[in-house]
Amino acid sequence: MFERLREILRHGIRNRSFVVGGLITLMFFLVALLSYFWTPYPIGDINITDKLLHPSAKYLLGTDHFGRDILSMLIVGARNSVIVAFVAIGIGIGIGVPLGLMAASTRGWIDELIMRFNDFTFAFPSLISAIMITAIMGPGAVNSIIAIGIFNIPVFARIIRGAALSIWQREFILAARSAGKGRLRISIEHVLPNTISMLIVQATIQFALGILAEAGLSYLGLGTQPPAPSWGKMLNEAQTFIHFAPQLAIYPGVAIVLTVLGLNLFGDGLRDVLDPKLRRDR
Amino acid sequence: MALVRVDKVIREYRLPQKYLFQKASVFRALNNVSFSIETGESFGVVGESGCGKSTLARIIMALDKPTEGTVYYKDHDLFTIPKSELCQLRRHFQMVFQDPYGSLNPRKKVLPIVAEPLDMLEKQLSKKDRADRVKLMLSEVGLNSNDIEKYPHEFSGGQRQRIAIARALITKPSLIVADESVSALDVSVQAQVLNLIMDLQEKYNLAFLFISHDLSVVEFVTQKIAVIYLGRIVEQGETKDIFQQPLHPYTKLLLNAIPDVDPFNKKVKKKREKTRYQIDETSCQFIDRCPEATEICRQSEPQLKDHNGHLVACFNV
Amino acid sequence: MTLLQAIDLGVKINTMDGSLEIIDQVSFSVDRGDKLGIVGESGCGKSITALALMSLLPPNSQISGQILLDGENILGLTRKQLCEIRGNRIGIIFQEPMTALNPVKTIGSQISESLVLHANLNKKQIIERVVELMECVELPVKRFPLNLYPHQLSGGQRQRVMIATAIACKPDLLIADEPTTALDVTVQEQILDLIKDLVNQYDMALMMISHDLGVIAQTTEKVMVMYAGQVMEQGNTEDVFKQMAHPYTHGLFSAIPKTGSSLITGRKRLQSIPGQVPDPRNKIFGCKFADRCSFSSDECRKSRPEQTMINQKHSVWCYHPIKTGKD
Repeated sequence: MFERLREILRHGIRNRSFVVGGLITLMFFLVALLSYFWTPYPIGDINITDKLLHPSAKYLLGTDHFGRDILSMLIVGARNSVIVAFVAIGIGIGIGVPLGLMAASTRGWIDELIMRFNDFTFAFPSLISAIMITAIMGPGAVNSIIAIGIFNIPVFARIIRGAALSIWQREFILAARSAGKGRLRISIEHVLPNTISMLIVQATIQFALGILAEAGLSYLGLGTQPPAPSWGKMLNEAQTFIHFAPQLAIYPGVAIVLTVLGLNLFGDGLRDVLDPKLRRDR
Repeated sequence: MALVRVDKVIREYRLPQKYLFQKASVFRALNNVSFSIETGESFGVVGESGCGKSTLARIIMALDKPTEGTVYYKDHDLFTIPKSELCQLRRHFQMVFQDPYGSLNPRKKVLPIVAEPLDMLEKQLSKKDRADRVKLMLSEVGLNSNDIEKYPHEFSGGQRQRIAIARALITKPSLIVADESVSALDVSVQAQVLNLIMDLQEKYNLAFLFISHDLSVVEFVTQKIAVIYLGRIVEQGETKDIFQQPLHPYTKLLLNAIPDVDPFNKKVKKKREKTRYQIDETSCQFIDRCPEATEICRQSEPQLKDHNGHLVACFNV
Repeated sequence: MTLLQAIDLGVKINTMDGSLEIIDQVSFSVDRGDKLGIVGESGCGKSITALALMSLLPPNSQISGQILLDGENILGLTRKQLCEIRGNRIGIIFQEPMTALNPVKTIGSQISESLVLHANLNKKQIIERVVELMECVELPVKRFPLNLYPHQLSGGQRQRVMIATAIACKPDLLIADEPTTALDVTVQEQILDLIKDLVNQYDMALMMISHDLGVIAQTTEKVMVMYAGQVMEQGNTEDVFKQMAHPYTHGLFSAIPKTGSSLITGRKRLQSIPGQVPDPRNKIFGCKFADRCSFSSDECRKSRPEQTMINQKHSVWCYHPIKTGKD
């Protein structure tokens, strides 16, 4: 397994998207991790006297309208974005992948049922529905995770089903059937490992979308609730100050854009690295 | 009692309808195919693409169910016995596939690939015993026992086919179905694998069902063959009888078409006459390509008739 | 009259594992109306040779040597000039008709592609020519209208379409790269007969690339045996097949089951060549076949054997050529 990772890195270094995207993504995760151990200032600290300061040695990115250190808020905001997006794709993968595998292995009416459920979920505009769900269930990080997670399920189900269908046609599957293995065992032992590359690439895309969705929900006040900082919430609060303190909006905005860009670049690079290698296995 | 008996197998596929309320037409991939294979016998099936030979291979391996008819392994009807019994019987018949690149899971190492049939069919083996069996099989097929830690992509096509053969042998089966197993290999490697197959056959008294479109290979490896055209057996018998004296016009056509390796014997192109007859539902299905077709061939489909152990389905023999 | 001459052709491909030598010092000549065969197994470089002649090598490759078409070195030409040659003076038939034909274009439009590019004909004349070509390849337009798509045809029929495409502009040289490998044996017979007829009819030179010794024996007059990118033996087909001077040629022939093998009683074995084709990543000095050759010596591994003339037309590259013919 580790030789494979080393090989991926070896190929990845030559791919620009992989490197740039990878570095940005790595930075993002490290910052999020950092937030558990240290932030320049504790988040709760409201220091009205220090409000709306420009960047200085004391406050590296300045302060917001409550006197809170912007840098600290961005760091903890990163953590919240990671957690929400991560658990949301966890839901998507945890439920979507088994559904996709099941659909591909059984065909027939189970496949139909799963695909109709997929179509049904796709028919709802995801972000608006997420808003509706959190508005009904009540705002908060947990509910926004659930809302975003639900819309990840059909994405993964559909993509895994597609990949699995073509894998089922391959001869080593016939060999496994000749050995007496049943559908479930074959799906787990043979089909799933051959879809991992596609899964990882899609996961990076969905992760980026998850961050955007979380930012959107928080912007509307439906996501992470104060006092926990969130990039979306920061954007929302910055609105009133846009004319004379635009930096309050620019910082979280740039953070979101940079992170999502980094993830998308990494996903693209990863796809390039993983795909031709699959062909190199011949 | 024959080792394997294929009994009047018919395999139909429903074709997609052209219009919504039109009756779906049916395509017969295999039409009333029957033959048997004795223990230790090498039986060949030849035919061109689309004749149904791969479908036949799957049905014999019980990987596909026939629409009518059945397959007997010794006296077990593979399609009526309970699933658990079928699963246990699988140890006796295994398959080697055509594509040496596709028949091995690229994500697994050689050890789990070759040991796979043991997972279900000999669950009681300890990890060490399993590994030992795999190493033994690998050396039987001419590979190194250290190869168990490698991945398929580290091997050449011929070596992968050997791995596939090792996998097929690990449960000590009595029948191996080789579906175009050497077609994708280079000539020199093909020779190595064919020699291996014949050695193994002799050593373990294995029966082989050898499916191929390459007539020279089939002539070399098999003792009995069946020639299939559009899902029907048109000629069947001992290999040497059929190759020395083919009786069915289709067999003659196939044998004539093989390019001769002797450049001094340049084949003269024969004038291909337009056959006068059209195929329809009642006629012999070979009538539109048959140089020996006559009126009688329009009337019905010929059945296999015995000419001294040599079965032929033709009115003009 | 010499139409095409390849002199010391070499192709290297740049990969992450370094510069791999794919073909090395390949020389041959094709006269007008000649029928040259290139025979070898996978990895011998026969397809790369064909692509080199068309200047269709992948971007990460380096080509050395010369390719003279009617005396002019085509390796130095500009892209525009090369486009003038492809399809017009050299036509090629590929192995897999399904992937070599565009599935979303009609057969009519594909056959006419080179005509539109090279011939000075108006639309009506082009259509007439395409119909004429379809008749030539035995696909009468009544049954096979020009607006059919490749998937509506069988493998043999698609190959005929590809042949029509290749000969559309009456090229001087027709290259057939394993044209029948993917086809059934009866269809193969028809396609090979067709190729032979057309080559005679249009007075084209033919370069037949195949791993099948039977196909080579029946369709060629001269042959070149390649192994791992090097030429092992070269000469008239009849001479080479009668007296297989190179151990590899001999081994190749012994490895195929012959007709009549069913009459042999007792234990049958094919004489196989042990080992496998070397990985181009392992740099081998000397003769690349040495490791698998039962006649090899130290000399063979030190340096590549020079050309030895057996007669005026027949040469072999070996330190230990086999003197007598096949047994």
